Amino acid sequence: MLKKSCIFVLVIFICLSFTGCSSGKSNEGQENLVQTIDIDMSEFNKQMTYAEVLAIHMSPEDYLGKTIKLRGTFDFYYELDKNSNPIPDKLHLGIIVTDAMECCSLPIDFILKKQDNIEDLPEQGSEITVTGILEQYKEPWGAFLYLSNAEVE
Amino acid sequence: MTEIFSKLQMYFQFSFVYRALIVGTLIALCSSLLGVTLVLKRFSFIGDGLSHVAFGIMCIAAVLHFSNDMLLILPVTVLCAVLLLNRGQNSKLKGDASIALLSVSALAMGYLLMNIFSASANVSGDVCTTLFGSTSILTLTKTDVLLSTVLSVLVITIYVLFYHKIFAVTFDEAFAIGTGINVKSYNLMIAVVTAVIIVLAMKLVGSLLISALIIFPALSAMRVFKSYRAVIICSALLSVSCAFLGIIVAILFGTPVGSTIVGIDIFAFLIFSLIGVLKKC
Repeated sequence: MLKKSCIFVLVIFICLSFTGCSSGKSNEGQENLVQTIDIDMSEFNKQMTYAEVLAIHMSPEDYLGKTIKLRGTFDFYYELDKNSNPIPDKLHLGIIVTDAMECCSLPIDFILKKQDNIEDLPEQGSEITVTGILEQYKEPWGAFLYLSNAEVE
Repeated sequence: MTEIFSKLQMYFQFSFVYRALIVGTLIALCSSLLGVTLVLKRFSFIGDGLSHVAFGIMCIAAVLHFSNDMLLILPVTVLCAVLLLNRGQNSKLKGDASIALLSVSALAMGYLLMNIFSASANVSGDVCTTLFGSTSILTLTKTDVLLSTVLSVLVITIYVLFYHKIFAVTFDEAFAIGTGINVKSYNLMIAVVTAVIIVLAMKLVGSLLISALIIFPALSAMRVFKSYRAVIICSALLSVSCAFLGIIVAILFGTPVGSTIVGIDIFAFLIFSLIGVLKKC
């Protein structure tokens, strides 16, 4: 009984030791493949992309300043004025990632490196790959993440 | 095959992957240990019942804007588990009826409250994720991992320390009373531990699939082995293997984690059933 208890405690201790391994950092091994991209999610399936983007939203301080590449659905919207008319200069571009069951989705805005016309951008709802540097902007109602210097494929 | 390994290598660089694997296997281990006891005590559907109660409480916590819903979910689920399981063998309202009563009531009222007082922009998405556990295990915070690990270690320690008493209470309460074991206390302990496991397991497989995580490993082991100790060991190894494999497959192929784990549990059950039939022949 004592021997078995010791074995169980040892197994649990080994499992517990893994809980200290998480550093919140990602993708250090990718340096050999792509020098400039810190987190490359372009080859991920939807489930994994959603999980990592959610991790980014939950702990943005671990990811700010990193170059991220991800695949998702392209969307855009214009901010509205008091009369609910779109303001032409206030265009927001975004990429939306969904999980495998497509019941949950997360957006990340992006600002293009080169200011393209809206007509030159992909069709709304099409799948795109965006690479950019993760940054944060704050509004009175909250903080929002976006990719700066973004390039779209 | 090399493509699969290179994909795994890529995914393993992300912290949420090995968090999911550690917590998932610990939860599977705890579930399997209690699963044998619950199956033998004819409380196989307690997982469903308590998970629906936990879902209902989670909805209430969301409506009340609790920052940490575990503060409400865990104590209330423990209370319900005590009410359901601590009745002993001579209660008037038998196990299945009392479970059904609480289960459907909590599920219906929880979903109703979520819709009336919608605290989220995507109620359906949140409900779907909680019920089926598609991404919950992949989106654990460091606090979630620590809490799950501590609770799992506690459950396993309790089970190891009180293994013989739990065995006696499981098979014959009257005999256990006769030998001087405080059966009420041990039933209470089993109830509390069950509630803790249910709340943890919701993150792995979701509310609707918890019963599978609890009963399939035990039933699979019982197809082949006859002694209590052998069933426990086999159930534990099987549950951990299926959970580990399920998470890996879900990560590689982008399938919902909960359903994938249960699918592998079902496959294992069929294999063990076949082995059991061949053994008899």
